[in-house]
Amino acid sequence: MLASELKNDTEYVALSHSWGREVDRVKPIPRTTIGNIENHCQSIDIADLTRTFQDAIQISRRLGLKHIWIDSLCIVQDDKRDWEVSAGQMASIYANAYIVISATRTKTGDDGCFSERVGSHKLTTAKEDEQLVTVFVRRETEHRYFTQTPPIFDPVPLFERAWCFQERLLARRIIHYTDDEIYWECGQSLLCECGSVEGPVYRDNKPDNGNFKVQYTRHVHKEDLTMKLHLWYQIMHEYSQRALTFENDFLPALSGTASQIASPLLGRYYAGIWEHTMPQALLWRPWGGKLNHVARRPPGYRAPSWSWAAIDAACITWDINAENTDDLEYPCQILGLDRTLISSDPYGQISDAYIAWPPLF
Amino acid sequence: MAAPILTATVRYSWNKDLDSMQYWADYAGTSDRIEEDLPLEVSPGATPDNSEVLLAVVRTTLYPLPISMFSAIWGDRKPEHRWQGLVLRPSSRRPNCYERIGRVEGPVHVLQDSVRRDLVLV
Repeated sequence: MLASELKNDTEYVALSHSWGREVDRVKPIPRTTIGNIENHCQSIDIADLTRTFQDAIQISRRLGLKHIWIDSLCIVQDDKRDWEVSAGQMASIYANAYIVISATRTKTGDDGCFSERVGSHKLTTAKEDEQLVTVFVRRETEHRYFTQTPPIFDPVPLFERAWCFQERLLARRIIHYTDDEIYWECGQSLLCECGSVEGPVYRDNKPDNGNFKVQYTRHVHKEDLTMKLHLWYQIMHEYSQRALTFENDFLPALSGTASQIASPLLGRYYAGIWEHTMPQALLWRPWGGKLNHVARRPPGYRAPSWSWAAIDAACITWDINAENTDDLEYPCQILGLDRTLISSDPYGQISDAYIAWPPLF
Repeated sequence: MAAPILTATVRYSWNKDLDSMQYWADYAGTSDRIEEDLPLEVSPGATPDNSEVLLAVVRTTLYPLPISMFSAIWGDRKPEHRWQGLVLRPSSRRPNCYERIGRVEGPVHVLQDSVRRDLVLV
């Protein structure tokens, strides 16, 4: 069904999933193309879908929702114009979804949302008075993959994907399917089946287990420069550790988040750098390599060398809260900044950018 | 950008303890370590040993920060004024422009040798 045929208030599910590397896939990811869009608007055989897509449809039906948005099916993959428009609309697609189903445990579409869980073990032992006691034990579930930057991505492969980082932040509600548990995540809370993820620390009488999505949702629309910078630097650090299949997606896969955080306080956006954070924003630095990847510069042009988006490496910048601003001086002046956008998305891909005065082009 | 600029020579040095290459900027009678964006010897766009680079001063600040939360780390080290900036090399994409290859910081007294220049960064 075409989106234009739906009412504005139609409730739909959006799927957050990993395409995975082609060599790892058993079944190809089904895609809508210019050649098959008419057929896809009529019907798609469920047998043609990957296991993850089939599971997501089953979950949607059980939730009573009739519509689902899946990127490979809802964006015409060989239509550059449709792809650019859709990439620019990603923020609203995920933010307006009634719920996002996150296939967090999957590396490819073959894995599916549902896992075969390791059950608990029954142990029976005798106490000193010879009375028998039975206990059930199971492996402790790690929750830090949800509350912190994952130290490794293996148990949560989806979290390594750059596109999915944004999808998680933008979604109003998410159900995460992992190997051990199902998690509920929204702008207010993060909950798991065993109940131990909602940590013991409370701030302002609100649960605070370090979950970034909760913090992001709480502050992203506040016109508070310090808070916006704090969020942006955390996003920069987190996002720069994620991986992409297509290097040119680096800015488009962050565009939805950038458009949400944008504000006159920050000024215009130049490939990951906000105008009003110059010149100090030039002082970012790499912070170790990327998990599972060697730090490097992509072969094609992606961003100016003065932006952290120019390299594939985990990056950090200065923490505004740790600054002693009384002693800071900036002998450097940025006289002019500009960039050439490839699409109409002001936060999307660029073909050139410079710091100069007078303008270069 | 208009900034105080220093000219430096890149020096490679192998750090046995860290088992990795380190890079230094030799300039104005001093040396400061370059925090490279990516290893400088890696192609494409390598910056070889003995290359001439520019150092652009972005800001000056007291370092370490005279804030009590850091005293446990820095002990009695007295804060001093330091400059922080970028290491730039001529751009391979655009003539007469420069591109960033890393960061550097050093003592402010060397800034007397700097010259204010307008540079185009790409």
